[in-house]
Parts: sequence; C-alpha cells; structure tokens
Amino acid sequence: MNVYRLLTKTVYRNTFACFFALSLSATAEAKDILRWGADGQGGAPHVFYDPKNPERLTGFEYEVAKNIADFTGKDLQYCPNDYEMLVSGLKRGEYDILMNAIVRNVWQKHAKKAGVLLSDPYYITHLQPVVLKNSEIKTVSQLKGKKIGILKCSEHAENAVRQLGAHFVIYDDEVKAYADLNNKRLDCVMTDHPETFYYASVDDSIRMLEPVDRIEFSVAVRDDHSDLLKQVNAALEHLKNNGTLRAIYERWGLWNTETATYFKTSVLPQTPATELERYIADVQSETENGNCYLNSLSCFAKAAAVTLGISLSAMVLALVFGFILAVFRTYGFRWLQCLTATWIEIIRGTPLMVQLLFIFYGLPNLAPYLSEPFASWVCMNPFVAGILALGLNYSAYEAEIYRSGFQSVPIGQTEAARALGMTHTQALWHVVFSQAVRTVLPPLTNDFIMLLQDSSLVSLITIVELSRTYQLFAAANFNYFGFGILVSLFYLLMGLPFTRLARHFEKSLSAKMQRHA
Amino acid sequence: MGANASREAVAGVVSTHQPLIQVQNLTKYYHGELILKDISVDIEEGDLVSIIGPSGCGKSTFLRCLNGMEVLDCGSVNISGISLQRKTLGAPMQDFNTKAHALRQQVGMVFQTFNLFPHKTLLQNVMMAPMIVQKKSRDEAEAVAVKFLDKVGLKAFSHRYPIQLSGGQQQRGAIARALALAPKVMLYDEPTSAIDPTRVDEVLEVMRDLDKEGMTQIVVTHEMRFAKDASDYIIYMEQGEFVEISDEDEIFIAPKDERTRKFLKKFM
Repeated sequence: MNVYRLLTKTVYRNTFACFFALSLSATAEAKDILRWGADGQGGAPHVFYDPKNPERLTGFEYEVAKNIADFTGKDLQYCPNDYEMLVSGLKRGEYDILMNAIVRNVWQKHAKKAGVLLSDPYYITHLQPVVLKNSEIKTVSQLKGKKIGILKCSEHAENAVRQLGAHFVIYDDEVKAYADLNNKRLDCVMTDHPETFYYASVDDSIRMLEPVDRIEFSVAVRDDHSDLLKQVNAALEHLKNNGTLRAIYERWGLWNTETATYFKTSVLPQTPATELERYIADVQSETENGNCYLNSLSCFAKAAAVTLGISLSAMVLALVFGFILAVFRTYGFRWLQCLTATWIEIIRGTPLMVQLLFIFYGLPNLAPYLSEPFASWVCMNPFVAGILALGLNYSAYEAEIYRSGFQSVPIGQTEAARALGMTHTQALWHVVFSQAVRTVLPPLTNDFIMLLQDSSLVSLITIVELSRTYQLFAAANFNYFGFGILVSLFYLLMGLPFTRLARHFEKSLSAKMQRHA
Repeated sequence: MGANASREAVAGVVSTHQPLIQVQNLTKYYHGELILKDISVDIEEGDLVSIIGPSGCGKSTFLRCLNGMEVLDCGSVNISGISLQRKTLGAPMQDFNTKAHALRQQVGMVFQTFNLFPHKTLLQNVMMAPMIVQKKSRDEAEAVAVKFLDKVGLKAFSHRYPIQLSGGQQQRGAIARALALAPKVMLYDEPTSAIDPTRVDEVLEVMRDLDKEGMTQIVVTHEMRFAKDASDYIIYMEQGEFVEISDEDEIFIAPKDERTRKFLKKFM
C-alpha cells in the first residue's frame, strides 16, 4: 500500500506542475509570447530534438521561428501537435502561428475554408523521389504504375503521384516509408526534399531521382489575425534581406536554386553546412554507442509521469462517475435507468479516439453559440480534455462492472438489512455496496492497466506523453526498434504495481470463494 | 381505528384490550394470482404461533406482509399501534414506506437462509442495526450485541465471520441480530429448514427460551414436533387461507378439517 501511496503522491505533484505550467502559459499569452505550432515527429531537418541532447529543440524551421519571434519582440514557445491536427490546433487557438512544412500551393486552395491566412514563402523546394540504390528505375518517367510511399497530409505529393500515373501509399513518417522501401513493399518514396536529403545523408542504400514539382513553405495564422500575418511577412522580408534566412539554410545544407532565385541572390553557399555535418556525426555516433537511449531517459521519465498523472486522474473520474451511473442504472427511477443505459451504450458504442477528438476539437465549435462561462468551458485545455474523455469513456465500462457487482450480492442480504429497519439507502450502502466492492476490485484494477495504455491516445490532442515521446525519438534517430523496447519497458514498469494489485485482489477473493464452497 | 371499531361492533363486544397483532381481511396478489385470501387473525402478546401447511400455500407471503416486506393489496395489518392498511383493492397507500420502516423496528425477522452479512464478524452483524438504525454509539451497540450473543450462546464466537460458523450457529446469530433492536414481535420464516438436522434443536431451544420470557413469536415451520410442543396454537394454511386455527393438541389429535387431516397424515 505504501508504494501505491508514494506513486499517487508523485503523480499528483507532476500533474499539478503540468496544470501550473499550462495556466502560466495561458496568462502569459496576452504579453509577449509567440506560440508556434509544429510537429516534432516529422524529424530532421524541420523541427526535432537534438539526438545528443534530447531536451534541446533544433531544426531549420525552429531557427526561422525563433528569428520571427525575435523580430516581433516576443519569446518563442514551441507547441507540439500531431501533423494531421496542426491546422485544427491553430483554429482552436492552441498556438498563434503554424510553421511546419505548410505547402503554400496546396493550402492556398483551402485557406478560406480552413480559416487560415498564409504568409509569403520562407523556403522553396521540391518533391524528391528516391529509390533503392540497385533499383532498375533510373528516371521519374519509369515510375508509371509503381507504388510510391508518401507522407500523410501531403496533398501535393498525392497530386504529383497521380500525374506520374503511379499509386501512392500513405505513411505516418518517412522512417516507416523507408523501412517499406527496404522491404521492397514500395518501389519509391517521395517526400519534400529537405526530409529526403537528411535521410539520405545517413543512409547510403538509397538513390535520388530528379526533382518533381515546386513547393513553397509558408507560415499560417488564423484568419482573424491579419495583424500578426503582417508582422510575420515583415519579419520574413527583413530576415530575407539581411541574409539571416540564407545563413540558416546554408548551415543546414538546404540552400538551393529555387530559394536563391526567389531571394534573388547567388546560389553559391557562403557558409559551411555545419548543422548538417553535426547532425550526421551525432546520429552515427549516438546510434553506435547507444548514448541516445541514456540521453533520452529523462525525457521518457517526464513523459511517463504525464501518462501516469493523466491515467490516474482519469481513473478516479471513471470510478466516481461510473459508480453514480451504476447506481442510477440499477436503483434509479425508470426514466433514469433508461437514460443511463442509453448513455452507457453510446459511450461504449463509439471509439475512444472519436470521443477524444470530439471533446477537444469538436466542442469548441459550440463556443460562439454559448454564453460565459459555458463558452470557455467547451474550450478545455488539453489535460482537462484528455482526462475527461478517458474518464467518461472508462466510466461506462466501470459502471457495468459495478452493476454486476451489485447484482452479485444476493437479494436476501438486502431483505435482511431492510428487515433490520435500515432504509433502502442504508441497506445499499452498508450491505450491498460494501460487499460488491470486494467483487469489483480485480476487474476495476485490470481496467486501470488498460486505461494506462489507452492514455497514449491523448497524444492526439497536443499532449506529449510516453508514446508520443517514443515517436519523437524514434523519428529523430531513425530508430523505431530500440526506442520501442525502451518505451515498452516504461509501460510495463508502470503497469506492474497495478497488475500485482489486481492479482492480490483476485487471490483474496478466490480464497473467500473457496471457504464458501 | 375505523376498522377496529367496526370489527368490535360485529363481534358485539366492547373491550379496552387490544391484541398486539391484528390482521384484517389481508389480501395479496402475486403476478395476478391470489396468494392470500382475505385473512383475519388476532395474535396476543406473548403468544408463540406456528403456521404450518404445504409449500406455496402463502405462509411466507403472510409473514412478509406482517413487516411490510410485501405490499398488501387490501386489508390491514396493525402491530403495536402501527397500521398498514388499504381499504379497497389496490387503493393508494399513504406513507407505506415510512410506516413499514417504523413497523420493522418493532418486528424482528429471521430467514430460512440466515442472511448474515458475510463481510462482517458476528459481533459486527449484531451491532449494525443498533448503530445505523437506532444511532447508538459503538460502545452501547457492542454492549447490546454481546448481551444478545450471550443469550443465544455465541459469545465465544463473536469475532468469527459467518462462513466460519455452522448453520445452527448462524441462525442463532441471526436471531441475536434481530433481537438487538428490541422488537416486540419475532417472525421466523422456516428457521430450521436449511440446518443440519443434528443442529436444529439448538435453534428451537433459543426460541423456547424467548417464549418463556414472553416474546411474541410467529413461526412458519415444518418442524411438527416443535409446533406441537412449543406453540400456544397452530394455524394450518392451504391455498392462501387459514383452514384451521386451533390448540396444538386438538389439531394433531382431532383435526376439524379434512384438508388438515390429509396434510398431517404425511408427518404423523
């Protein structure tokens, strides 16, 4: 029991810290912070954690964002979000600017509908198809009818593949796409040039084909933030003219003809590609001597605390709310029974992921039609939304466990209690519930272990927890294997005390059963 | 009072004495089937009454109507001044729950399957009602519990859990638990049917002792010997009716009703 108490204590402290940080960031919003949304999972060279020092954010887009913030006199705050959710997060006000390989050519078409404004381009590049070194495919024209791996949310790549008369397969990140290229499940992988270039720099088994298309990267802001857009454009113009942008791209080895033409400067680099070289050296040395795992441990530990904090809070909510549901469902008035039964069916009949996205991204759409304080209630912070979604979802399952627990207490027990002059409520409380607790403890504890794993879904709503951290590190180090084992160990270690607890409850219960028999 | 007055008028006797239990025209349906047919009976304080009869004749239902565990459909039950009544079939009953709740504090009930609370020790089982219902302090409740456990001969077993006790011990514990509320009436629903035959007597002995102390007791039973020896009188029940109410010797030696004779033949 001591371990349990200790765990709860630590987690509450951590959760508190999270909330505290969040409320701080919320109050500071009005002052001088520029919140920047991006997906670190995209990996090098856009935005990623330094493989050598996982606490340090880096990447050429990080540097551009930092310079934009400096120009506008604000402090930059990085707000990580899943790539698919980047625009939704911007609309929801999770961050002020979005800069993460947002393709201007594509988004211009959707800008009005999506409710975003696009800045002038800050970098211009192309799609880069790659094949295995020994592949028979020598030119792009030979790709007709072949299978090409592309990244999610890249409409420009989909269009390009269609034009080539090929078929596309969509991947979460390029590491998985390259794995399939190696496995011969794909004939070609086609992503934006910077990503391909960085991957190719540490993997010599692939060969680049000639460029396809032209891509302009832009910064996006909400359509009611036209002032901010002006500031961003002014910043980009300034950074372009004073050579800052060019220097950044050159250090990252990304200075190219397209951008040079657009900037109207020389294509010949003036600065050595130090960041690129450092990156190649880091990845190679880290992977060789396994330092990347050691360095990542503190990040994983922090993420584990977030996972545990969210899971425990959600479980408390599920236990309390599930109990209320079960009592209503079993002992309530007829209409209340119907209502709770319907609610439980709805919750159990829809996926947790849908509920989570609905609460976080869907509900805020109601805000314009609601008065305060409801309007601000529907725009929950990610932690509240995550705990609420997990808690509500699990409460439906816990309610059914409680109900079967109530029903396992023989009717004679209630009758005896009532015959002793107890009221209905007293009989339920002192006789039914206190006996049901013993039967429901093992299944409830098992459910918590499941919740611990399901909590990985909150990574969809901008929370960096354990499984999200895994993806970030795996993508940055091109290593899903080693970090996969590491993150599994974390989940196992966290679940272990609860598995033991469940087994303990089961044992003591079965001991009782045996004595009954 | 209206019902009482009319009854007295019919009987043609005016008396200040009122029996402890008065049942009048008690009628009960269950899923559309008539279970209790217009039963009327008076039971005096200190009586030990046995109810016998074939299974399904309505004995248990009658008992359960006496403490409001079953809602009567027509008629009235009056115990020690608390009255549950329905003037016509299915007429609305005001405050049924409140009255039944008050009634149950005057009436102890013992079940065929004991129904001790398995998650509590014997002592805690007996302490529960005094603490929860009568709001007694822990010390007071414990004193009461120990007193009654001693009375049923289980003081030494106070700290055992129900599953660690024999059937006879459990039933004696259940009697102590009911007595702890100091009821005026004790109802027993086949108290010895689920007990090993060798342990039946220890339970019956407790009931005999209570009878000597003047407790009013109604026992639904198949123990003919007990009914014969201990009862003040016996009610023979069949198909929802009181067929015969008589002194114990009468009913066993010379039953008035053919149906009673047939039933008793199987036991004698």
